[in-house]
Amino acid sequence: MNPIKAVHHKLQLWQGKTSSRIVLSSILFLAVVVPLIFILVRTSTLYQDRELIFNALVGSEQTVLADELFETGFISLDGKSFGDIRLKGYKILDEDNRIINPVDATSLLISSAVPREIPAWLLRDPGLIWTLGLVLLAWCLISVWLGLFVTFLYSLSIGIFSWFFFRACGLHGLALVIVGMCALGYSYHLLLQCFRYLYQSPRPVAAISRGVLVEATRTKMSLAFLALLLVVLPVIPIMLDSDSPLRHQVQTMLSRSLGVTFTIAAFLTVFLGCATVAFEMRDRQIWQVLTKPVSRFSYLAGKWLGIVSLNFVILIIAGLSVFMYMQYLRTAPVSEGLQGDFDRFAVEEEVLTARVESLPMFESLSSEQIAARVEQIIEADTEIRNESHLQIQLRQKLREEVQDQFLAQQRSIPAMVDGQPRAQTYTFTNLQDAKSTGGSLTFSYRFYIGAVDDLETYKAGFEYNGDFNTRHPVTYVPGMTHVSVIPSNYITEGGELKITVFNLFEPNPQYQYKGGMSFDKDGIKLLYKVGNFESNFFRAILLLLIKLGFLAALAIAASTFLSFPVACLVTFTVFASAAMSPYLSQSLQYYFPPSTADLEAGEISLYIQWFFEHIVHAIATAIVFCLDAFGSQRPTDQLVNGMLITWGSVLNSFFKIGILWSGGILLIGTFILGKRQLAIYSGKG
Amino acid sequence: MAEPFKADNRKREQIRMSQRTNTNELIIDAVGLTKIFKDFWMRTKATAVDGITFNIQKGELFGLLGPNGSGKSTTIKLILGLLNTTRGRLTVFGREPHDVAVKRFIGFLPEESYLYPYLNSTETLDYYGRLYGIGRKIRKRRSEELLEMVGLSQVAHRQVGEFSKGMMRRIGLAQALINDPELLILDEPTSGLDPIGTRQVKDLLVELKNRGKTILLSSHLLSDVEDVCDRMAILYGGKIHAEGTADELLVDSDHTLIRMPRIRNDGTISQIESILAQNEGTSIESVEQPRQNLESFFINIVESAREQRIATSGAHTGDTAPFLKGNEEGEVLIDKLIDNDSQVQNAQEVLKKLQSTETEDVQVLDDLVNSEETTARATEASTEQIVSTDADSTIIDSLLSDNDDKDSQE
Repeated sequence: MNPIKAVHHKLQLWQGKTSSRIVLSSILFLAVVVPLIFILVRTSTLYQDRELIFNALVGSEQTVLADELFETGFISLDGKSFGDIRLKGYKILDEDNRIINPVDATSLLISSAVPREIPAWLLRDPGLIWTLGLVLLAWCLISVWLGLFVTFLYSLSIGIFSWFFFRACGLHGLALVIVGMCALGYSYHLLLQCFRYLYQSPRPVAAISRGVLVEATRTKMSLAFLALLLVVLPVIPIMLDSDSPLRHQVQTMLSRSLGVTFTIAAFLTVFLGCATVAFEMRDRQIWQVLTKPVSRFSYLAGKWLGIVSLNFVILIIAGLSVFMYMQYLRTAPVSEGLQGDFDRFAVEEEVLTARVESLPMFESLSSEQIAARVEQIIEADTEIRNESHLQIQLRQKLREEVQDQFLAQQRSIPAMVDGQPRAQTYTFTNLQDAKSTGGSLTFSYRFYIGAVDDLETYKAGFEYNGDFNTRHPVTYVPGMTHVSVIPSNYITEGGELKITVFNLFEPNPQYQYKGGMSFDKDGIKLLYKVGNFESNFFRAILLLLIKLGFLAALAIAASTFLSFPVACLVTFTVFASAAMSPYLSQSLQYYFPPSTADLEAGEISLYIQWFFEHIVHAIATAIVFCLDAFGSQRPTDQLVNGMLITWGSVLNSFFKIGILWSGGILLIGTFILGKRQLAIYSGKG
Repeated sequence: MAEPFKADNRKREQIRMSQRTNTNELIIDAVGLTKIFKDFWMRTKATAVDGITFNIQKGELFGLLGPNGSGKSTTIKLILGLLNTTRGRLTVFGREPHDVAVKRFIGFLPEESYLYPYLNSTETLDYYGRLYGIGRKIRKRRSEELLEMVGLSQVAHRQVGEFSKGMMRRIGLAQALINDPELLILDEPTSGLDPIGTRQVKDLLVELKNRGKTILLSSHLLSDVEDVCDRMAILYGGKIHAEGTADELLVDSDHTLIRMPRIRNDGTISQIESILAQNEGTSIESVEQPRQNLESFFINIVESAREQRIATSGAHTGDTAPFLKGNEEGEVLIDKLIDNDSQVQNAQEVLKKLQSTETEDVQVLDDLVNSEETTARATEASTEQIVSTDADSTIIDSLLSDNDDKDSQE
């Protein structure tokens, strides 16, 4: 045995002893807990000092402190000194002796006390420090007690060596990538071992699930996808454009990393799900399994559980790495000045948050009003007035058009005439939650304008609750989404907010009826924060896992009666249809197959067209009906836009997609497998 | 290595009779069993099994003989529920073959071992043990014993995909025995094995049968079936053309064979011939020295070489696994005894469900949990067991003595 193998063997033996594990656990416990306590103590002191300074600056002693700061660059509070010599001559009060910005002033004064040895992103949130510390401690202890400490040492060694080596070569990005890959690779191995330990119960479902996890790690097919994930994920951060606004970087990172993770996991799910059953049937290993006391359903459920467990590991690994990078990225430097401030504000308030949207209330016509208007239209049209059968068909369309037009009118504001702006007031209700949180609201608007000038920007104005003092103009680019921040104290006690929108564009007089401003149904909305990014991210991961669970059930069920390639094709087709179902649903609103009234005797082509288009419509409708619930769940998009993913939607998806659909598909697969004769004829014909 | 088991026809018959006296339970009952394979268009492609009727009683070692394509494997697949019957009735433990509950008592070795190539021997046995719901300790112990028995303990951590055909058969046999099955179904068990391995398997089968296990053996190797089977059926073209015990089928009732020490005086033969002519009116058809069969001769040669400790790189097989003999050791036995209480209860529940409301079935249930039955079986095992020189007189005594040995070794 060569020396390296001998050392490895000795280490393996040593780590297997209980006494060794106790010693290692103690060392690692101290290695994690001591720095954790140190960081917590330092940050606790920091937060206390920050609060002390802020309260002093907004209190009665602000003038004295401002003078002291101006003269020395420092202030003294409770026996402690805060500030920097470079702050000498720095003014924090305006001409009226009011503090300009106490938050910024506090940050400046406390900056010298911020521990440099602790990353800034870690200091944001004490809860984050606790969470990280506990996760790291659990990670280390599980590694020891599952007998993986030697593997952990190897990964750590490679990571440390790569870090110093590539940084010495000037390849900082590559160093980060290598370290990331080592950490992800080891974490994946660790989590898989955890699941194998969890599934050690002598029950068929657990045994088969465990078998799938072993199969996934020992067959090359799964390894290829995993390697792809481990390579691509750490590479995404270094592909971000550091010159672009931080908000875009954060959104790009979120979107790409979660998108890549889900795509790779989906491909792995389909291939592994189809292979694990189809190949066992082809190679007859299923004979050895189903001649044991294993029911068909247990067999398929075990396969499904194994694949879902693997997906869980992948999502956790990828999710944690993305999450950690988000925490790091949110404290990355921004451009100087106001633009930088807006950028950071956008990151915190519009991306790394959890918001809900509120749409304005619009009036609707009553049935009688609609009917009256339809009658007017029919009466006014001499062509259809006398055609009773045409009237019947058109009435439905006209009713929809009348309602749409009435709503569209409310979403239109004519152009300014003779210096007199036209306006429309929109009411937002049920904003009690926004008022109670006290945070600011984001008013998002996307206007279109019927203009004839080649202007790029146009002017509009906003007024809140009819208060003249709140009026302010804005400049917008037609077709682009803009935001405006509204303080929450504008919301009335009844949870209402009225926003009056003014069209401040006046076209040339020769262009009558032009210059009107309009917007779509969701063209204006109020967004406000109701939760934090961390829990929203976790819910997004859960939703992705639920969707992958459905995909796994589909793949397994398909392979009970189809060969591997055909099962993959069918599964991908259904998956793609489900993903596209929201777009399909929208398209169906504008797809009108010809009616029987349009058919003319003798025109075969019309009959063919009628038949074909109705078939297409039926198939599309069926797809939308069956799969829309799957496709409409887009957690990545919601996360990127900082929109809240509610627990209700998670539970709804869990029951509908996770239990009902996935369970139903597995039951269908069980039925098919039960009817199938697994042993083929092998005799003489 | 265990000495070759010398089959004693008379003792075998005694066992058979005692078993028939104590238990008439039918483990497998097939009546008019037919299997027709059809193509996609539902046209008849082949009639693999054509109206066969047979049954296998508890404790019987039943052989299914026939050339390739005679329907042996198809019959087995029907019994295991891997195929659906076209016509006829087939019950296993009194239930439909597809019933999951009866699989707990069945061990199956297919014609080819279809195992997971990426698992090693230990993992393979562990996996199938889990499917049977066997606890960790018992599973671990049995895996070790089985690997030792089939001669694969040296390659316990090698992936099955790297095994030779013979090794695959051995691990296949091991997985068929992991649950200590009541019904063992073996399809060409000696295929790919050398003569030593073949003899080991045959000895094992007899040992299991002596413990009251029921065995269905399918083979086209006639000597394998003849040596060990109580009854056999000969299939051809999907039909049974002959069925019965070896004696019923093979005894030549028209001749008498007298075995005696070698005759050195040539005149003796003449005198015998004259007596025959006088009393029976016949004559001697042939006089020759008997031959031992090639298998026995081969095994003797190998035994002799082993005693001389001549080196070989081949597989070294071990004794029959203790749990298959009923000799669980130490804690495992205690655990098993505790488990057996629950397993007996579970077995009772399962068997209660399996049994119909017919009164004779209640008798069978009583027999299963009857201590007299257990004692009788143990007594039979102890009195009839000739194989191992370190066989103990009682199970408990062997437990205590072996347990002490193990403790001292550790």
